[in-house]
Amino acid sequence: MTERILIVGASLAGLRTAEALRRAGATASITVLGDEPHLPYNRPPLSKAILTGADTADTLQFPLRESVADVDWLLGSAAVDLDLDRARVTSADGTEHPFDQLVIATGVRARRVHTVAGRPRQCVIRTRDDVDQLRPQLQPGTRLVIIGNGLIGCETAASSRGLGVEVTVVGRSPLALERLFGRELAEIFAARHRDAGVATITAQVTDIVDLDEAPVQVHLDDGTVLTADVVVEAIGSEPNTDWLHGTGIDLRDGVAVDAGMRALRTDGSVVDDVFAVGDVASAPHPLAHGARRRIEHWNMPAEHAKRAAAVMVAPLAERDARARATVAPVPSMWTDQYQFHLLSYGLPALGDDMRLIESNDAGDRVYGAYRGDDLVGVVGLGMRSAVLARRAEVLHTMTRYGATA
Amino acid sequence: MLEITVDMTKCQHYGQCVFEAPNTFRLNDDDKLEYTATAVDGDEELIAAAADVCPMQAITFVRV
Ligand SMILES: Cc1cc2nc3c(=O)[nH]c(=O)nc-3n(C[C@H](O)[C@H](O)[C@H](O)COP(=O)(O)OP(=O)(O)OC[C@H]3O[C@@H](n4cnc5c(N)ncnc54)[C@H](O)[C@@H]3O)c2cc1C
Ligand code: SF4
Repeated sequence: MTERILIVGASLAGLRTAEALRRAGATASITVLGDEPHLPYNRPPLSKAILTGADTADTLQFPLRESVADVDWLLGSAAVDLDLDRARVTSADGTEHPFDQLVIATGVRARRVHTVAGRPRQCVIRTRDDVDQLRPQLQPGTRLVIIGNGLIGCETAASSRGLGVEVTVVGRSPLALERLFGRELAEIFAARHRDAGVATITAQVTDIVDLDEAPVQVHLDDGTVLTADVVVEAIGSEPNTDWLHGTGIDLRDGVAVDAGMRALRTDGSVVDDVFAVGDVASAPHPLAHGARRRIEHWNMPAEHAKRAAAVMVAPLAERDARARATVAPVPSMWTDQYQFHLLSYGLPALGDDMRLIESNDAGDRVYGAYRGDDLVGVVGLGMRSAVLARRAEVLHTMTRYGATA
Repeated sequence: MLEITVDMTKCQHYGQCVFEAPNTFRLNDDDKLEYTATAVDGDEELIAAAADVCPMQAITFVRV
C-alpha cells in the first residue's frame, strides 16, 4: 500500500507528476522536496521575456490547481542522499524523508567552464536567481560575452541586443543550431544575429580570468583574449544526479528509465517504486528505435508525468503491462529570437535529410527531417498550421517504429 | 460556466492549446490564435489541460 510519495525536484516535472498522480486517483500523501526557494515556475521565458524586461519573474509561477492543494512543498532543501534499502532520502539539513514511492525530478544544471562559486560576473541562465544576478548587469553599452551558440546562447544574444548590450558569441562550431533546425534555417538565424550587430567567433574558450577591479578576460584557443563586463556561459547542461551515486541506478546519462518511467539499475533490472521524469530522465523513444535519450524539451515533463502516474497507481503485478501500454510523446520545442518564432515536432536531429516542405513570400518556411522516407521531425519558421499538420505524420512514424518504445 | 482569457501579449500562436481543446482554441487562416471566451463547466478539464500545455502560460480561466 502506497502511503507516502516523495517527489524530489520542485519544477515543471515535479508539479506535473503531482497533478497526474491525483488525476490517476493516487490517495497517498505527496511531498515535494526542492532546492530552489521558489514554487515551480516556467523557465523558458528566463532567456526571453524576462531578460528583455517584457515580463517580470514574479509572473512565472505555475498556477497550483485544486488537485494539488494538499501537496507538501519543502523548498530550499536539497536532497543529498538516497538510501534504497531503507527507502529514505536525506536532505542537506540532515532530515530523513521516508517514502513508499520516489519520483526523481531534479532536472539539469548549467554546465560551467570552471567550477566557480559566487563570481557575480560569471553568469548562467537556468534559474530565477541566475537571471536576478545577470539582469542588472545588462545595460546599454555593457560588453557581454556569451560562451556557447546553442539555443540558450542565441536567445540570450537576441534578448541582450534588444537592451543595447554589446554582444559577442563564442561557439565551437559556426552553426550550433544546425543539428536542431537543419543547415538552411541555422544560416537564416545566424544572419539575423549578424544583422542585429552580434559579433560571432568560432573558437574554444580555454580560460576565464575574473580578477576584481578589472574587466573579465575570456581566453580563446586561437590566442585571442576578449574583454567583457559580464560573461554568460551557455555550454549545455548536466543532469542533477549527484545525490543518486552509489545506489546502483544507471546514471550514465541522467537516470535511465523504462517506458513506464521506472528507474533501471546498471544491469537493466527495474527498481520498483523509483521513477524519474523530465530533463533528468533518459527514456526509450520510438523515433530513436527504442534507444534511451534525454530530451530537454518543455513538453516532455508533462508527458513523462502521465506515464509515471499510470504505472505508479497500478498494483506491482500489473506495472509491466501498464509500462508497455503507455504511448510515447511527440517531442515539441520552440524558440523566440528577435521576431523569429520557430516551432518543431519530433527529433529532427535524427533525420539524415532535411527537405523544404513549404515556404511563402514572407520568408516563412517549413522543413521536414527525413530518415529514408520517414518523417522523424518537422521544423518551421512561421507557418504554424503547416507545422502542426505535420505533427500527425511524425506520430505516424513513431507508431510504425513501435509507439511504446 | 467558464470564462477564458488568453493574454495576447504573451501568446506566440504556437497552437499547443488547440490539441487539448479544439472546440475552444483554433488557429485561423493567418496562423493566429482564435478562441471562444466561454465554455461549459464540463469542459474544465480540457481547458485546464490547454492552459497547462501553453508554453507561454498565457491561458487563464475562472468559473463564473
Ligand atoms: C533559459 C531556458 C530556456 C528554455 N527554453 C526552452 C524553450 O524555448 N523550449 C523548450 O522546449 N524548452 C526550453 N527550456 C527547457 C525547459 O525549461 C525544461 O525542459 C524544463 O524546465 C524541464 O523541467 P524539469 O522539471 O524536468 O527540470 P528543471 O526545470 O531543471 O527542474 C529541476 C528542479 O530540481 C531542483 N533540484 C536539482 N537537484 C536537486 C536536489 N538534489 N534536491 C532538490 N531539488 C533539486 C532544481 O533546482 C530544479 O528546481 C528552457 C530552459 C531554460 C533554462
Ligand atoms: S498554447 Fe499558448 S502560446 Fe500557443 S497558441 Fe495557445 S495560447 Fe497561444
